[in-house]
Amino acid sequence: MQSRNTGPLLPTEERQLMDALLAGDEAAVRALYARFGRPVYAMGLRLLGTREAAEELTQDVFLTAWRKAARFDPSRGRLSTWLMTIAHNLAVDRLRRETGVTRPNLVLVDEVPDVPGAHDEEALVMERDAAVRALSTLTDAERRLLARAYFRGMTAREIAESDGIPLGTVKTRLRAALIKVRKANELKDLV
Amino acid sequence: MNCATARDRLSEHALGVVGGREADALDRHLEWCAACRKEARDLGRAAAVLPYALAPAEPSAELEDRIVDAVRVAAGGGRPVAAPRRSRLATVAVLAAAMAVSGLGWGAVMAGRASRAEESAEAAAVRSQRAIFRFSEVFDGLEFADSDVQLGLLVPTEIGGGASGTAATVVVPGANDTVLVVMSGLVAEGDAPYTVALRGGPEDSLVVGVVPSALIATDGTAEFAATPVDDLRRFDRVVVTNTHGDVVLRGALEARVPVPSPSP
Repeated sequence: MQSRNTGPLLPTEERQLMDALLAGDEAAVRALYARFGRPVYAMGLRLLGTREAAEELTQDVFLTAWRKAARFDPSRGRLSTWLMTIAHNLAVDRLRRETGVTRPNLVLVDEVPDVPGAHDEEALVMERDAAVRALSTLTDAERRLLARAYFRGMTAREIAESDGIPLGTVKTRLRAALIKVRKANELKDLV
Repeated sequence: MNCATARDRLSEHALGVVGGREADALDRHLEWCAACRKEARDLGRAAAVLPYALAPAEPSAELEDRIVDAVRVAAGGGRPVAAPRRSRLATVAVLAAAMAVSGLGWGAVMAGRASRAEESAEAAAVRSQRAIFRFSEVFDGLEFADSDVQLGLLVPTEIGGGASGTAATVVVPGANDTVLVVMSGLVAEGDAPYTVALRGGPEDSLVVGVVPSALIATDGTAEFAATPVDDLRRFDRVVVTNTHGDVVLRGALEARVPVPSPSP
């Protein structure tokens, strides 16, 4: 099948893409890779620390997406959310399972450069711009907090113990930060 | 789990750091509670934004083709189109090495955090797909024309605990058939030697190898290859028993790998 590589996909297009993926359609796999391959790889690199592990993760994510393709329901959420959740779950699971895995450095999302990669698809550049904008609504402390949980797999309890602050406070801050990101991202969808 | 408890953990759930029984309980709650499910979905959408803000990183140029091939093979499309051309390698050595990787990968998954049963099973399924893909890669370009290769993942019985493995039979016309088995999670002391048998019909069983404790590595892994004189084509199951005669691992040989003619 042919799929656009520019602009957000409509829910019907997302469903068609997943149907084609389920059938093992090469064009569908390439279309999905063009949109999601690099962000999944970047996440793997941050969480798992090596290029090899990140590539292995990326392949696993696409195989998992293929296996679960029939269960993807565009009315319940966007394809990017669905895929990134698969990717993150697989990565965190691996991070915790393998004791010898190279731990990533603490990620500060404000290190993100302004200039996107030269070869990136337009849709990916748009997602990245929106993400950077959404995260710019957070304070530095909120960004660090989310990064420690999401990119280092630290639980609220681990963060609370590490920083010597009450567990409830960490949970409240995590939720507040996520809600800020969600609201900023919703605004993007309305633009 | 009630709503108050669920809400207390939803942010961490969205960030992927709730594990074990708690994650299972939370998932069960979300199945029936629409209000918490909506909250979970909103927070999940927010969390999924985070990876897009990472600095761009470029994977190798071959990754895309590898993924296309892997999905094609998984979807039953047969031989990968862009499989790497390999030189003629020592067949058994390469095959055993591939099995060690896939077998150990599977073992690591099964021995992993058993408390997150659903995720481990999920990861294990991916591993098995990858294992099959690896095998098909290994075979490509080798002199296996007209041979028939069957693969099976060995899963532990209740007694088997954390054991796991991979088995393959290679049936080559005009040559001795080969059986290869890779296992992990074995217990050298007390349970060895292990006996590996192939099974066909109800009465059809062939012991193909014994794994003594001396062949079990300190990390609980072992692998062996055997070339019994029997025609292996009729066997479709593998059973591993410990020294007490208890079955610890079993699996069906069912993933038939397409074996192309050697590349020109």
